[in-house]
Amino acid sequence: MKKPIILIFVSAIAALFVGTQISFANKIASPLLASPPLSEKTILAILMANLDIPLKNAAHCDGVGIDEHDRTIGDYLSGFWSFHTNKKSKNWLEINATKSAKNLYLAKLMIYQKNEGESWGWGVSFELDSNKKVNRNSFTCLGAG
Amino acid sequence: MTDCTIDIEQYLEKNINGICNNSYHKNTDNHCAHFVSHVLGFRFGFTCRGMTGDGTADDSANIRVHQVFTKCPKVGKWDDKPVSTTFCLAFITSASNVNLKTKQMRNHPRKHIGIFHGGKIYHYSNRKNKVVAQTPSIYAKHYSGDDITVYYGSMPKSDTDS
Repeated sequence: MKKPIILIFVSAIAALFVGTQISFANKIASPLLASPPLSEKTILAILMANLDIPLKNAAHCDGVGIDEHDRTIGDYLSGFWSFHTNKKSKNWLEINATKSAKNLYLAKLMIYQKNEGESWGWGVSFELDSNKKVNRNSFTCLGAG
Repeated sequence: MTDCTIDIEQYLEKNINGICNNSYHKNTDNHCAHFVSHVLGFRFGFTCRGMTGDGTADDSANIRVHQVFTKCPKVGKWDDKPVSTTFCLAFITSASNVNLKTKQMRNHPRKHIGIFHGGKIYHYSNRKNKVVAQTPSIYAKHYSGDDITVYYGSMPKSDTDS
């Protein structure tokens, strides 16, 4: 029961930051912000509003969770992000968005760690338009290793 | 089935940028499955081309250890590997990440893969950012931990999902 509670809490915090309410029940995510720049914070907030997307509905996400019971994008990212609690490793996020077509952007979040000299990175990409409306069918799980 | 006559020595000391033509070269990414899949032609599952969008499908390679593990016709603990098996895959991870009955490996970041050939295991060292060759006994120390276990896998078909 801990993971859903943590996800809801984090999403609630994100909602406060961006000044809007996030509903996991919404099947189509609403635009979160009116200002154009897709900052790292904005991308992260938009992603947090869509953590409920099932892995089975996303591309290349089969078996990506560190736990076999992981069911959602939120479960998957929480698993890898939890490794950032290791203070002895080098931990970082890479967040960016590139224009993929007219009024369309491809946003990416990668969770990285370098530990005992070995690096890994796992994350997601998703499409959104210039109004920051997310295509919930566009999620792809990224990463190697 | 991949041919055991491959010239694997040619890859020694190479960085992934000398092996992959699809621009997936960042040293901060993990290239162990990526290296193995380029050498053996594993184009199933998620590939380097999927990460970059560059290159062609014919020249792409799988980049995920757990997907390769599942594709192996036969898997088992390294100590149980038939003596006659001199060309196979060598996986290493915590035993808690592996279910041999279902041929599943959890996607835990602490896992690694190499190619056993001619008595050595050739693998991409993400620490040294190059291909290295080690004896199985040295390879078995790739990770520290009491339950770290080496597994063998017979060669999957070197093709796509279809």
